Amino acid sequence: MYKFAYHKAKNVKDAAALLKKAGDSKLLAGGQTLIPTLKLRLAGPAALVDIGGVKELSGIALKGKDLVIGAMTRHAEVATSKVVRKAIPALAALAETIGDPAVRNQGTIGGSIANNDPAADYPAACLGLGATIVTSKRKIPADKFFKGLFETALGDDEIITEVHFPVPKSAGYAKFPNPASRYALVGVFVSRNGSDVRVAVTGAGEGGVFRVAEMEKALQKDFSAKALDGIAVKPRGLNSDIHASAEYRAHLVGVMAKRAAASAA
Amino acid sequence: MSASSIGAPVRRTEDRRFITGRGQYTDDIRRPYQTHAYFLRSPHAHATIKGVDAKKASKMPGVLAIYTGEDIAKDKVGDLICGWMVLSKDGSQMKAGRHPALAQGKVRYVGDSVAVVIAETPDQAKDAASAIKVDYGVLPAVADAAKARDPGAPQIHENAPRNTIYEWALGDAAAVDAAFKRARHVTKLDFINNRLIPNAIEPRAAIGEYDQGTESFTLWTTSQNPHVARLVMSAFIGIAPEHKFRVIAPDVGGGFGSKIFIYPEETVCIWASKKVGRPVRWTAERNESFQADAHGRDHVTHAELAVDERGKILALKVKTTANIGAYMSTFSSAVPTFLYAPLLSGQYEIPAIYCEVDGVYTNTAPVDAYRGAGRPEACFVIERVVEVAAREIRMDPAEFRKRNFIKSFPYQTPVASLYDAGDYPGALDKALQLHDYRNFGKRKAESERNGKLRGIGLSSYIEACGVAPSSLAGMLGCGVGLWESAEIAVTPTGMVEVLTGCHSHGQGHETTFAQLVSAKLGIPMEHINVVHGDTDKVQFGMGTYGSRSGPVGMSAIVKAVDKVIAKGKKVAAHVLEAAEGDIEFKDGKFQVAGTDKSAEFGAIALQAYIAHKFPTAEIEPGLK
Amino acid sequence: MASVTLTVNGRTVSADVDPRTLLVQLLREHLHLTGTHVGCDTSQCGACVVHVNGRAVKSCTLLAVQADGAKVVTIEGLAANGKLHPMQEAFRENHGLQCGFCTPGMIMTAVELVNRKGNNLDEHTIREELEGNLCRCTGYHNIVKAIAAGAKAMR
Ligand SMILES: Cc1cc2nc3c(=O)[nH]c(=O)nc-3n(C[C@H](O)[C@H](O)[C@H](O)COP(=O)(O)OP(=O)(O)OC[C@H]3O[C@@H](n4cnc5c(N)ncnc54)[C@H](O)[C@@H]3O)c2cc1C
Ligand code: FES
Ligand code: FES
Repeated sequence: MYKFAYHKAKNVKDAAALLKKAGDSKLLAGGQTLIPTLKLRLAGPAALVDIGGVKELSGIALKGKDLVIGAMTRHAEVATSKVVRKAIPALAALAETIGDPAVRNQGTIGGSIANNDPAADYPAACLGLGATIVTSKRKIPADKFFKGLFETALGDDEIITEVHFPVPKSAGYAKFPNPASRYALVGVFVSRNGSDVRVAVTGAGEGGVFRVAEMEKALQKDFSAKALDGIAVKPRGLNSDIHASAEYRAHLVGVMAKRAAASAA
Repeated sequence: MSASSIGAPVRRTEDRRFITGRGQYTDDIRRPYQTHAYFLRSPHAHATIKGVDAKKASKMPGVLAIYTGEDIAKDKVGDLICGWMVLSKDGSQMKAGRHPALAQGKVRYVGDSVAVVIAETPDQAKDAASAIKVDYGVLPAVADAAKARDPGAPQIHENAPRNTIYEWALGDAAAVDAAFKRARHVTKLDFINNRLIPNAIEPRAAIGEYDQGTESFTLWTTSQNPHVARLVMSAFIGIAPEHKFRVIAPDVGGGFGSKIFIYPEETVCIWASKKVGRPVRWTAERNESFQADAHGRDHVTHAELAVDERGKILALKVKTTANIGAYMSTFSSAVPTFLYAPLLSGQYEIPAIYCEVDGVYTNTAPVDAYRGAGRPEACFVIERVVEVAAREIRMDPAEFRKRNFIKSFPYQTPVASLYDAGDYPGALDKALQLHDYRNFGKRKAESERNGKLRGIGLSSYIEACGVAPSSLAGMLGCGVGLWESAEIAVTPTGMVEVLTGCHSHGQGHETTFAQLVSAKLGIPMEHINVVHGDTDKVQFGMGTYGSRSGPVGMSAIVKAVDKVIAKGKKVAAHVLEAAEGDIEFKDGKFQVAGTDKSAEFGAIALQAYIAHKFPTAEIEPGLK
Repeated sequence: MASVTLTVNGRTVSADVDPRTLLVQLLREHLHLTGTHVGCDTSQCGACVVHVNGRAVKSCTLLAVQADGAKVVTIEGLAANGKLHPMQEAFRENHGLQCGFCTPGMIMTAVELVNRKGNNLDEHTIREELEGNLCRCTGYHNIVKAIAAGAKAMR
């Protein structure tokens, strides 16, 4: 790691102020992405602002029709929360598949979404459930939040505070994990909320998480795995790397979408 | 507490320290005033070093010294060596290029060390390394063994034209050619045995320390064979005279071959410890393990199998290009030759075999022994080609194997190995039975009906373990003998110290060896302590690799125990006032045959040390 | 420099550290608790797992300053008054280790697993939960057996 200054934020306001003051700085949440990055010297911010101690940022609650999860809530808490398991079981199940137990004990939903790794799980849930990302400055619908590889709509000193997930009628998530890291080689999140049907794919797209309109249309008519028969996504625009070719990923999108739909139906 | 018998299920003695976090691995050792080394490695596969500018870096906080290949050369530190001479078909010696511990003038693979920074903390060393400016002249590189000898391929070492280290062969080419002429069917196969990275879970590490008072060196290192490391570093690299050089390999977290070799990093740590006048330590980061541990395998092979009309194998022809990497690691030459070709007969009766192996340089990390070293590569060749041949002639692969298995022993293969015994058809039949091979077709059809695929694979394997004896090793060009040492030291209270030249890095020698001695001496395992991995304690040893600790190391222990018993009989005869020939040793007791006069092992040990009334011309005091 | 105060194996310790010091460095270099190992740079091997406030975490992926005020338990703190923890005993009984380098992380992960999921663990669960711990020697089989047995013994 390069040298950096360390600040511990007391609350969100304090964190925002520290971020602004420190200039070239980064928020530190669970550190499960940031610390490995720093260790490999792939980043060298002058300062870290630790929001690990900010109480108001963590917690899970049902508010009206939304399941609200604080940004500092750990993956393990989401995976085991009774509230989440009841409201959106697919979301709890998704959290349970992230990395490994130690990563889940530390990593946070806010960090995952802010990082927007093209193979991360939570972005699929956000897009697949039509979530709203609440920040220290505004509310951003998921459709406008994820901007590309590791790119989001977040401004420099903007902090995610909560994620609001509309509770769907049903939802399902299926992923083909990379056997080493458990990141998604391809993961598909599907949900149905009245007439709003969503299919979001992670792990596959060159530009990160994306929706598949054709699948959504088919599922609107008939929310079942069978409805997806014969619908194929094209390899163009999908990732090709040492783990899988674009063709293989395209195939996996079809298979995972069906599994997700089957688990949701 | 009672004696253990060989084969009895016992709990491992070494486990207590590992499960409580009290193991002592190299990186766990702290030395007073220690400093930390960080190696600046080449990001290029092949480049000239036009200049290294360390001015700024050397002024950074905590930096004590920065050294490059020039400093190594100035101090006349010898090159790293390959300790096994392999001759080409034409009788010429292998062409080993120079391998300085820090690159001189040129880097030859990604990970080749260009400079070392020694600083007060690891972070400071790393900070400074990133401030060193190296002016590289990037050269074309070749990584693929199959392309290393292409016209126009970059030349990696001046003394190895066409990047060729040797063109070695084993077997009878003429006999093979003649057999191929008679063949009904010839199977031809090209394949790659891919390179891999050993990745022991404990990264390599080293601590070098120089004692100005006694002018002696100590090296703690993650080694499978500390004595060989000391020998090579003193005799060839010339760092310190052997008697002033102690090498300690404490607990080691797995080796898989990769910790046999003598590497640049430990060489630099021990050399630099004298220069900076303080202990110098280094522990690899995992990404350094990937870059700079010796890799395994990496063969490109063409094989042909000649078969007659009855499905009998007539001959095998193999041509392998072995990727040795950018430098010849310690035993790299032997792995794709002597450890490979002699097993190409597998379990099969093959009247004629001819194998050619070309060792080539490429711009990749050095390749050396890894798990099985050469032998799994040979197995892969013979089993693949046998399987494909069976399919091509439409014979059941199990039947084809059985038809060609060696059935009478001893059997002399055409590739030097002599097999003493075996029941290959019996073993295969057992496996087929366990697997219900006969009904596989039914299961496959059923799977197909369910939209699934089902396959089956067969393989047989023969392994040459123990890598010995010394006479053969010498004949084949090995630079050291492959014997093993053992010493049994009995204390006056009858406790036993077993000193072995083998090294345990997960094998459990402390238990197994103690169990052997316990069974032989009839004393509890708790009274036995196995000592290994320290050149100051153990006289000499070849270390642990190639499954040799059991067959070779334990054989040495048995011999040493026998000597202790023989000496014990002498002492017992004296103590029990009987003739030496009348003394029997059984169940931990020396007994006068046919009488009830006896003495416990411990009692005799004590007498051996008290030695008050010994006829010292006949019996020396002590029990060793 | 930043100052940290934490409880390690029941003892309160304070240190002045460079903020970039990892918890594992604090444990190994400052406190000489070398039972916690480092096997990778990418947070994947689990040789460094310790308990922070009762949760298993990778001490190579946590800054020492993040653990300020926390209760940390390392492998050295598991055996109470010289008596092996049942999970340690189970690893020895079931030959769940060879070179021992991965073992402290395995045991710390296993103990927290039992705390979370109870004493009756099936093979599938154990294997899934070991996702973040790599062993190069054993092939995992006996580790899985050891954890199942250790879980029962922890009752
Ligand atoms: C071995 C391993 C396996 C993993 N496997 C998976 C997997 O299978 N699936 C998966 O999805 N992920 C996986 N991860 C990543 C893990 O989920 C991370 O926890 C997550 O990506 C980042 O969350 P964090 O809290 O650790 O964030 P940090 O690492 O602390 O931060 C990540 C980034 O987000 C920023 N940030 C953090 N919080 C906020 C906030 N509230 N507002 C704005 N910006 C913020 C930080 O500044 C930083 O740039 C894995 C990680 C590891 C080490
Ligand atoms: S050292 Fe922490 S996960 Fe490997
Ligand atoms: S016992 Fe050696 S890595 Fe697990």
